[in-house]
Amino acid sequence: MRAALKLALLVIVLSVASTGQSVVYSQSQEDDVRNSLVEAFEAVREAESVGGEVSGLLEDLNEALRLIEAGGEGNLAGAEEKIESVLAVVPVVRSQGIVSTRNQQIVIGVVLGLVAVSAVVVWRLGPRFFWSLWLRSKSGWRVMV
Amino acid sequence: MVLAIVVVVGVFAVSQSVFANRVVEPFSELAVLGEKMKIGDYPKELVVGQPFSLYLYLGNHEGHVMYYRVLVKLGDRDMNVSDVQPLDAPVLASFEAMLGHGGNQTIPVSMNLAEPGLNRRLVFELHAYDTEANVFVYHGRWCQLWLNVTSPPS
Repeated sequence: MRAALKLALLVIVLSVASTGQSVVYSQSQEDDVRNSLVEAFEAVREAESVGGEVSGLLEDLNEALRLIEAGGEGNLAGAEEKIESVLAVVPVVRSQGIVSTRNQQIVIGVVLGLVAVSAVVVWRLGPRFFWSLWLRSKSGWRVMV
Repeated sequence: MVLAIVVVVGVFAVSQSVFANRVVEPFSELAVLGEKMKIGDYPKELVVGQPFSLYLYLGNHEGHVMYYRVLVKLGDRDMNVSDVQPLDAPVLASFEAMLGHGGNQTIPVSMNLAEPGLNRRLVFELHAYDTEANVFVYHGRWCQLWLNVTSPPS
């Protein structure tokens, strides 16, 4: 009888302890997910600063935010999954941004070079070209005195 | 003459392409919309526990990605809130969003008030995540609704 009572008490204590642990685990899990979210936000912001296209990543992070606000272990797991997928893609977006920015700088350099070359060409050949055109257009004219 | 025109046009074109993405005056938007998602039709007279719907509008023109948090607080006419000082009152609810430059988001808000009172101020404050301090800091934008909250008829 006493053994049965001890066993019942043990079961009650264990069940209460496991319930408490579950709540604590859920709160700490939310904190972990929020920390991961901030880490992902900083990574996305850094990728954007080097020219990366991050609108798709932001949609995923906003979806993760909604899941965190909804709460519950299932939603937190979903949010964690979204954040991990963003963290996995960020390096690719970042390197694409670097390439895109470099290409843009090359285009600007080429345009600058073309402008400089055009300016030199116009400076050197412009007057001669202009007067040859002028002479050709006036070649049929007669001067009446 | 031709040379001058070519140089001026060239410099203008290049400067346009170089400075195209530069933000001269960065700013963020916060607005409270009524239940029809328009400016107006705000609740004025409420009963304790009566649910009401609003929308929060957030816009980012800061030139980079922002992580916003809107805190909803309940105060009264004696409490002070300004562009530099948030309202010193308990937080009733909070809403978060991440927006890219030029992006905006409209967030549905549904809430009710638990205590009666006249001339209550429902204040919406915009906070933004500071990546250097690693905390949310008050961003200086706020909106408010004036409400009279009455007890339910017994």
